[in-house]
Amino acid sequence: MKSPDAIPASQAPARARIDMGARWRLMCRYKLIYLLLLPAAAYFVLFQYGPMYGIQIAFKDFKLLKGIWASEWVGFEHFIAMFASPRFWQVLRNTVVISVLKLLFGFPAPILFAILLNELINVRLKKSVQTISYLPHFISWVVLAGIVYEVLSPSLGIVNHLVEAAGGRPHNFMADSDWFVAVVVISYVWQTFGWGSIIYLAALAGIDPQLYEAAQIDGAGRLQRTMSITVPSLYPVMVIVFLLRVGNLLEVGFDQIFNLQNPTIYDTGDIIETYTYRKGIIQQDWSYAAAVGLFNNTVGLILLLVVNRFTRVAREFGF
Amino acid sequence: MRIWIAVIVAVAAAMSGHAAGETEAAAPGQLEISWHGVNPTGNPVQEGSIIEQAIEAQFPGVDLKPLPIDWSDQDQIALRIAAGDVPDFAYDIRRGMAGTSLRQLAEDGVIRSIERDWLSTHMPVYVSYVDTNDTGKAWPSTQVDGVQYAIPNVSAGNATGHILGIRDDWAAAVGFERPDSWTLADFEDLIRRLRNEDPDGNGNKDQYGYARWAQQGLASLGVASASFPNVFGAHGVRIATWDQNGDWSMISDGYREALKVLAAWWADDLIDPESFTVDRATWTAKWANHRLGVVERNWTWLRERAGAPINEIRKTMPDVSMIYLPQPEGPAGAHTSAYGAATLVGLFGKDASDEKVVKIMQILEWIETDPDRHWRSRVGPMGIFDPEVKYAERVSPTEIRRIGEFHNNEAYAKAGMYKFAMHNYRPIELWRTNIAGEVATVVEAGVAASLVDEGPWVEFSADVNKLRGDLSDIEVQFYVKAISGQIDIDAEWDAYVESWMANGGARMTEAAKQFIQNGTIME
Repeated sequence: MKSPDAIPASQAPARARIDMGARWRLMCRYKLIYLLLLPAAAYFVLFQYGPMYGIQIAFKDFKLLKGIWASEWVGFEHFIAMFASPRFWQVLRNTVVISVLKLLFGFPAPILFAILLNELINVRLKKSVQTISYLPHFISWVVLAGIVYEVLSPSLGIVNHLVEAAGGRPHNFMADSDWFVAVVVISYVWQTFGWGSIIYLAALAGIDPQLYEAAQIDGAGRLQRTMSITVPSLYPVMVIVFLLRVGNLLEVGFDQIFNLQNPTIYDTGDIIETYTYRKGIIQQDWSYAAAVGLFNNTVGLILLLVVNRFTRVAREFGF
Repeated sequence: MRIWIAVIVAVAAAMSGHAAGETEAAAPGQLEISWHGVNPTGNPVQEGSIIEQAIEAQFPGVDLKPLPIDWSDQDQIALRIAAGDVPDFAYDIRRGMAGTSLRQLAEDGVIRSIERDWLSTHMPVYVSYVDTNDTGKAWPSTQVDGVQYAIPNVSAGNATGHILGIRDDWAAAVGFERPDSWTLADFEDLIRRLRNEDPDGNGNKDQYGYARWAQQGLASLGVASASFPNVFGAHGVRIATWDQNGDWSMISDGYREALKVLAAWWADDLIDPESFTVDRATWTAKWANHRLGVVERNWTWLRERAGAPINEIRKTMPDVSMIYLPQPEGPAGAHTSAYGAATLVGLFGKDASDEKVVKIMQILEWIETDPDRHWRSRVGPMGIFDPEVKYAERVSPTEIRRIGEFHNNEAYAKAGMYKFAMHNYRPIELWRTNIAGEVATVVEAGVAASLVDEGPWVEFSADVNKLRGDLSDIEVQFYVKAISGQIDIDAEWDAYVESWMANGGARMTEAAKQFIQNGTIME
């Protein structure tokens, strides 16, 4: 069946021309407002799209002397080497494992925190806790990593003092691959749960208090009210946040890992972003690093497109 | 309105231009030379230092521009190279860049070639010292396919062994007397006593018998010569070297056995558990706070100087001295290892003109062939600190404090120390003439040490050499896990060797053997 709004094919170009003309006139009329867009547009052109010119070195044998354009094409040589390298697969696995664990623990933590905070009656205490929980978000990972190292130090750290007090031996957690992932996930949750809860607190503020009052009159307990009113009210936000997080699955967080890691834990703690940095900048293997980075970005793009599709579907279902 | 916008834009442009330019432009007719030499860790040398002024006074018309970045921070220099901004002179910029070879820098066009004759013409004495002290690697390490790319380096100082040392008060406290010869079992007994018998008498079990010397930072853990060299030496292993057959030392049986010895000591709580993650400052603080027993390093670090391990103790305990120990005997005899004589070379950036290259050579010849200038470029100008005093007699606690006022990393940076020197260059002609007392003792101990052969000169193609990056990661992980008891060494050994081979080790081994046997480079 034909949509009543559908434009006959013959009229479409004319309509487009009209639209374009009208749009141009509109833009001219509000030119100063559009002018405000310029810095943002320039930023994206210069720093986001412009550098994409360099992607081609993933397919070249890049030499600094020759530059990007004059370096020789080598086709998929670097990608073949990448897929043949066991180190690459190890790094990819680490990336996925850390990312999934961060999602697993980092996603529900702010929700739980927001719900718990919402239950607090004392407003002053609520505000204080809220403010304190935001603080780690504003501290850079350079500083946070130093704090983590100090806290876990075998000789000075409070954790190992407790271990010793309990009769155990000090353990160097930061040189232990098995512990490193746990350290990464825990420190990530600690840094982000407070800030991440803002969006849920905003959603909670929008819940009609009458729902709680009605439930209370019907005899619902505090837990029942939480499970039957609070949590369902958060579903739409939870779904959107979750989907966005999945879309960035391969972006583990360079700052955090780079500042926390050391060569002793590369087998579990080296991720694509740090590996690319080391191969490219430190070891000067530019083309190979570009190939690894391009692979990472391509997978990330695919994930984003898939998630985008899911988001539309979710919207159709009312989320 | 338009005028105001123009003014703002102009001011912003002027300010950004000022911020981008790190140094002022050279005066007309002056030869501006950008220079990237060593600096005290974390304290980049700024322009206008005392030593820079002395050089510029000697070479009128030269305007030295030291790069205001930390030489030990490989990230910074790597980013410079990535941007194509290479200084005219760079004291070996490959440090910390596992997998980056001279060949690669040359092929990538980061550095320029020089004429071999220029070295003989403009650095005749320097070259003669190199030839006298060369162990066979000085010249090959500066050439690519016969073309000269760098100033060679030799170091009789760095070629002396990493030796063991212990405080004499702690040795007495645990009833230890220096033996003329001893075994790894005897050494184990010493570090066990240091751990268990409370040598500082504070009533706490807070000393560790043995610790790995800390590198500059966590990122530069690289298991090089500073890694328990006497234990590996006793097993005939020199870390991270190819042997005469073209086999890599870190997959050898001796390496495996040495790891097992260290793992057993670790399991008995004799080795400091922070051995793999502390930086040098923390190591020094732990030593100064009476937490570490045996030290292990070459004489240039163990000798008396501000910041030397023994002087950190003497700040509060002036009568303490060091006892330098012989190498413990193990299955392969009593050996240790050293830095290697010729690993760090002088490079010329891609944009350095012939005139600049020649001038740089003349400057280095002037500095590095006169004993006095050689030392002052490293320990400071006369009047602040006299090298003759430093190397002639034991330094008193008062003197140490005085030295400390002038000799800290910040003061070093202001004076420009190390920056304009071929840092590790220490030919025997320059350093054996003016040493005495305890300094001589530690030097003699290092000279007397038996070294594990550092292996032949091996050269790889740039592509093959890049494999070292991943291999180094694999080696470091196994090394740490093995020693710290995270894995069963025997159970995991085959998988480790297999992984090493699969990640490029097999290709490198083949290339090493080919070079050693035929002298040809495998692509």
